[in-house]
Formats: sequence, C-alpha cells, structure tokens
Amino acid sequence: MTGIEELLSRALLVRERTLPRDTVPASTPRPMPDAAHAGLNPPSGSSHAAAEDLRALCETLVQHTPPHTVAKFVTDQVPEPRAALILACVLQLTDTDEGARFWWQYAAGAGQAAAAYCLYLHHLALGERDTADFWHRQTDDVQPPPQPPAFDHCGTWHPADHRITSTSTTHFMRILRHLAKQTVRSRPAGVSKLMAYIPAAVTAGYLREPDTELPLPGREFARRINSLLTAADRPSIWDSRPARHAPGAYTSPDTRGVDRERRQTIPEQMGTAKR
Amino acid sequence: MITPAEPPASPGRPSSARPGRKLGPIAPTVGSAHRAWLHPMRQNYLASGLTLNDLSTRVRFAKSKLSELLRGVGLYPRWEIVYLLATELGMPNWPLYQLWCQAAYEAHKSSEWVDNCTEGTPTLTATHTAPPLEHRAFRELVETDYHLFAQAFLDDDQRDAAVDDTFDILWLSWDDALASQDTRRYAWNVLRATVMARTPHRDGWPELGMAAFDTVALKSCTDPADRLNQIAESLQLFTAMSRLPAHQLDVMVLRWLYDMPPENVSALLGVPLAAVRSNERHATRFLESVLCPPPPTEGNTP
Repeated sequence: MTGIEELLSRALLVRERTLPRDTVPASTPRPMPDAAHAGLNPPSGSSHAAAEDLRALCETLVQHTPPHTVAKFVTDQVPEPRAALILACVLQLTDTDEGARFWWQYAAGAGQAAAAYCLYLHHLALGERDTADFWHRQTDDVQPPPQPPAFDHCGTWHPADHRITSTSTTHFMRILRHLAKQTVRSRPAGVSKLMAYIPAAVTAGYLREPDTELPLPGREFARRINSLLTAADRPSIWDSRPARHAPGAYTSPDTRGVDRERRQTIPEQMGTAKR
Repeated sequence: MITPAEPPASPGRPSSARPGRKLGPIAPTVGSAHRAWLHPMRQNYLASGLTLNDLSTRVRFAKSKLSELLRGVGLYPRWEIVYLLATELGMPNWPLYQLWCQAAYEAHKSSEWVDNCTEGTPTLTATHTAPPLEHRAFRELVETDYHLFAQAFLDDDQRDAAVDDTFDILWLSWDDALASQDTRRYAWNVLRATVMARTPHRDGWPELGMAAFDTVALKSCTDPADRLNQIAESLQLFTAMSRLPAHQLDVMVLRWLYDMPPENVSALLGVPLAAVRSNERHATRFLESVLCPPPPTEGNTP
C-alpha cells in the first residue's frame, strides 16, 4: 500500500453517526445561493465555454471526415486511431462522453493531436484543470506518425489529417463557435445513424467487459459501422464539399497554411450544413 | 425611448415558433429551492407550446405577473397562482408544493403566510398522490447511498432535507429523467446540485472538513494525542479532497469515505466502470502530489 493509499484508508467514515455533528447551528457561512451552479467548480465560465467548444469541434470533425476513414479498423472492435478519434466525437455528441475519453486517449497516443485537444476541452469542461493542462501540452507534443497521409486522394481538406497546435486551434475554435451560433445544423444521415448505434453498443460493451477501459462494443462492431456507413455513403450527404483545390495543396506541413485554409473553409462548411 | 429593436420574424420561419418575446432567463438572485421548482415549471411551459397570453387567459392572471413568476423576479409567488399554473401545465402538485414551501421559508416567509396561501387551494390534499411506481422503486434502490453521500457534507437534518428535495425534484422532472441517456446519472446530478447548494463553500470549494470528526480511525483512537493527530491528518486530507473536480470528488467520497466497491459506484453514478477507475486514478495522483510530495533531492545533482 502506498503512502497516499494508507492515508486514504484512514479516511473511512462511520455510516451511522451517533452524535449530532455540531451543536452550533449551521447558519454561517451561508451555502451557495444557486443550485444550478453548485455542481461546478469556480471557473464555471470557462468550463461552459470548453463544453461548447468541444461540441463545435466534434461536429466539425465528424461532419468533415470521410466515411472510409471512420470505417478503418485494426480488429473487429478496435478502430484505427483516426477512426477512434471520430467515433469518440460521435459519442461526445450523444452526451455519453466517458467512453469517448478512452478512444481519444488511444488516438492521442497514436499521434492524433486533434484527440489530445479534444481531451483538453473534455477535462476543462469537467473542471479538471490539471488534466486539461496536461492534454493542452500534449496537443503540441503529439506528433503524427511519420508516414505521409497518402490515403487522402480525393483532394478535400479533412481536419483529422492535419497537424493541430494549441495556439492555432484556440483561434480556430473562437471562429467556429461564433459561426455555429448563427446557423441551424442538420446532421448527415450517416452521422445520425452512428449516433443512434454507438452509445448503446459502447454501453453494452462496458457491461460485458467492465475491466477494459477502451470501449469494446462487440465482435460485430466493425461490420456494423461499415454497413451503417455504406448505407449512408453518398458523397452528396456526407462529404459534400466540392474538390476545388488541387490535390496536395493541403498536405503542406506548414501549420499556418493549414490554419488559413481552415478559416477559409469554415463558412462553406457551415453553409453546407445549413441545407 | 428607443430600445434596440428585436430582429423582425422572417416570414419563412416555421409556424411552431412561439409568438412574442422569448422568455427571459431565471434571475440570478433566485435561491436553490426556488430554482428547483421554477426550472421544471419553465421546462413544462416551454414544452407545452402555450404562450403567456394563453396562460394568462386560462389562469386569469396578468401576463406581466406570469412572466415575472417564470423568471423568478419580484416577490416570491403565492401558492394559489403556482398551483393554478401547475394544473394548467400538468405538473404533479405534491412535490411542487414541498419545494414551494421550502423556498418560501428560504425567502423568509412566515409559516402563517405559507398556511394562508395554502388555504385557498382545497384540492391540495386530494391531489397528494404517490409518485410513479418507477420513481418509488428507484428511490428504494438508491436512497441509502444518497444519504451517505449527503452525510459527508451535511448535518443530519440538512442531509435528510437535501435527499427529500432531490426526490421531489426528480418527481417533478421524472419524464426528463427517464428520457435522459441514463436515469441514474440524471438523478445523481440532481442530488449533487441539491447537496452542494446546502453545503457551505469556502473560496468556491465545498467544505468537507467536518467529516474529519466522523472517521472510523478517530473512533478507534484512545490516546488523546493520537486523536488530535488523526483529526489533523483527516482535516488536511479532506481539505485537499474538496479541491477535486466534481466527478473525481464524487468517486473518492464513495470509494474511500464509504468503502464502496468500484462496481457499485459505477452503478450508482450511472457511468462506466472504466470512468470510475480513471477518475479515481486522477484524483489519487492529485492528492498524492499535494499530500505526499516526493522527498526533496539532496543538493543540485545533475
């Protein structure tokens, strides 16, 4: 038993209190006046903003990653890191973010800086500043795997392909959130189907394998995801942005360039989503 | 006086949109018990599709007064009007009444005032119905554990009141609880908010220090010096624990203060076991860094 565990073991409380706790009436200090905010820690403003940012980021990542990326699996139940990043975002959008945390951790460990940034926002939204800070540092430290993303052949820009740094992303999130306020977004059919299927599958997986952190949503998971995506895989509904740019223009390692591109594409993305 | 004009409603807007100005938010000065019944009432109002005009006609009460009531501004509302509104909006009376009374006392209304308000609504006792069967079953399942959690922060009276309020609030918003991703998690969030609203806070952190006097370790100490040391140690630990983020604090209270197995914590909070373990790990690491820092190294060794 380590030192902290010994300390904690002496913290066990009696279940039946024999003596009243305090003979002095508990009039001071006054309790918090507001129950709605009581569950939050002091920096509740930034927590709320982080939750909104995370949602906007997840929406963007989900809507603008091609289905064939999401459908890539290592085993029946374990997605490839980039797919895990997106599946976690889908989970987050359905408010079942516990499973999302572990898929993001897996993706971040495999070099997906966007996943590290998602984790930063996720922990910040929960008021866990220390952990959030850790993932914020990781966002810059996480390096994508050495091989170039050669699988992106259709010439469109996909957020998960690109290097993300904390500084560029902060500006990007601000713009994204601002734009998100002004539009009513509808989700592509494929995303809605994933949102309906994944939370239940992940929950069932946790019940089946309670000791595993990474969601294990069952043997048929990869096949079900594939079939859901193929059923909805029409270029016009999932990935409707026209390929206006020359292929290769987005593979530049220059992050400032990427950021600029990102800013240019946001209004289009929102416009597309509005339909 | 010219006030900034609201954007005109576009002709293409769907007809389901409620005409008139949007209902303002709940005033920040509204207390926890008041908010506990006002929030579900607003939700019911917004879901009903009725306008303030409709309500005003039905309950024969001025529209401006109804608007004030739903935003929690002005004087604390009398039970008669709250009752009429609840009936129109199809809300169960009994839990609403409990919370309304609670809030009335918080708003420093006398018990005569409360009784006086209630006399006008003879149907109250007749509508003292039982909560839905699932609600009662759920209460039976979790009430003991809810008491334990509340007990770590509150004295016995406050604890009982907080848990009762929690189940009243849940009754009022039971449909939402059932429709949520996980009823257990929904209910836990209500409990947490209710308990924290009653817990004294210092610098924004909940006070957990009083629990230092209820430890098993302290009860087993016989030597006064040991007892003092134990209290000092527990105080330090509980103060550090109260700094934990909400999710981690909940897990640590249940896991270490009440020795609950992780599986039970997961079931009570409605979160996966993996998340419980992850939260516990993060919290333990934080506590270790605060309470058991690594021994300083000798000199400036390279």
